[in-house]
Amino acid sequence: MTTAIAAERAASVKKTIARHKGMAREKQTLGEIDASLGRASANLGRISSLGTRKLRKRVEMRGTSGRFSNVMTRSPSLEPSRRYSRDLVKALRQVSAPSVALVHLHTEHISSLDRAVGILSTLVESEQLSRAAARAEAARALRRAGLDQSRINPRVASVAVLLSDALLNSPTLEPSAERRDALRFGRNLLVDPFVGNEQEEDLFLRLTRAGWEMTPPFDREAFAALSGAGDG
Amino acid sequence: MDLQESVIRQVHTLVGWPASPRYSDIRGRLTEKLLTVVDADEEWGWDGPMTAVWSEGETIHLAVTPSELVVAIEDPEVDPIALCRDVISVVREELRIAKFEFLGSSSIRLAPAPSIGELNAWLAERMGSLGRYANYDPFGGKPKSLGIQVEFGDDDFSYDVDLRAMTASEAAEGDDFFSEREDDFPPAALLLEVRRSRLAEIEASKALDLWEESLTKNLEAGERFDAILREEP
Repeated sequence: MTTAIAAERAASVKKTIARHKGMAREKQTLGEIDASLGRASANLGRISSLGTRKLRKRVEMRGTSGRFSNVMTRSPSLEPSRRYSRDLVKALRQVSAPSVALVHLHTEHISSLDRAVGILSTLVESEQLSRAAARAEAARALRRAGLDQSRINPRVASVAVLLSDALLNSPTLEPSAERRDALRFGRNLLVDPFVGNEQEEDLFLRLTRAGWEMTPPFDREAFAALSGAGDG
Repeated sequence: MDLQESVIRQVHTLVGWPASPRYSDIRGRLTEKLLTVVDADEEWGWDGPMTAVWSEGETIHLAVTPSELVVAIEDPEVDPIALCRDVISVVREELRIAKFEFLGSSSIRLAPAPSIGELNAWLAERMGSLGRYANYDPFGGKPKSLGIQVEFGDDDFSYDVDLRAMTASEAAEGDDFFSEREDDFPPAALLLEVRRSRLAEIEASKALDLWEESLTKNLEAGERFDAILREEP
């Protein structure tokens, strides 16, 4: 009995999540439409100098209604109505053709992993690999991807961090063909759907054999005093 | 099959109480207080009797009705126990809840797998003799999806454990997670959900500690179960 009710409650949580997602999307769309109206209005500002003042006025009016709808949804004493977002979409569609071309309702998403793979690919195939600044940029992008992937795919995260360490801790290393190959192997693991245990170990061995340093070099000067104390 | 170690992707809490008649009177104030807890400003909405509040990055979601509260967290940086304690305390105080009727928590983990086909075969193997139906010809051969559900329980709390094979598109399109981006999920993964719930009246003053202990046990049980899964059958 308890289990059946618990399962029923759990099912209601899933439904809540589904409804929640819908609400968040709807509100996000409203925000995007507001932003788009702002962009359209700004662009029309430029167009207006060519004599399209009437069109600009219309967009400004829609922009005002967009802000008003946000005021409505912000007030806890009033229920936000789906009507407002629908009105806004309708309003956007009514704006004349030139301004519609300026409105972008969807933003493109590029994951930190895609970005890191892109930077690493360019680096591996170019002369930039011998430049410390270019290596540092790739190392930073890989570290960011590793952080994001740690909650999605821990082994992909581990590969990204390993490559980042190699690029960061080998600042004076000349890029030989073997060294480039080791990085290419790592880059390919990042785009594979699954990274196995053996592949992860293989990458470590390839990087080490090629001479990449995964840890900072030993600082003899910093430990010189300690060494002296030991001798005495 | 090389099943990877799992990662906790969502923790959610569900608590229930006898419906509070104060709800409609204090709904606005409650919304504002919940927005403060998740450090949000405009991320809220009312849908029928449900008050919904979410964080700016949409990784924390709260939903309150006159008789229930759901807190769902998908942010690994957030301490679920501390946040849920704050939210439950606000709701309890605002609605003047004297006793709770239901305390529940759930943790969902995803363990990346090489492919959905291998994962289904792996699950079928763990179903023992029942697993042979996974390739049953009259149903069309290979199954599209496969899952195992196990229930445990004692006098107070019951555990429900769900194991399901899941693709990234199923995770993004389904109702388990808030994220709708496929690249937020591994291409193929084993979903492990552990639910722990108690259906019995308890004084509000004692409920919070009991709920906290329950969520802690839930997380520990999920971790142990995850380790067992990667052992050979």
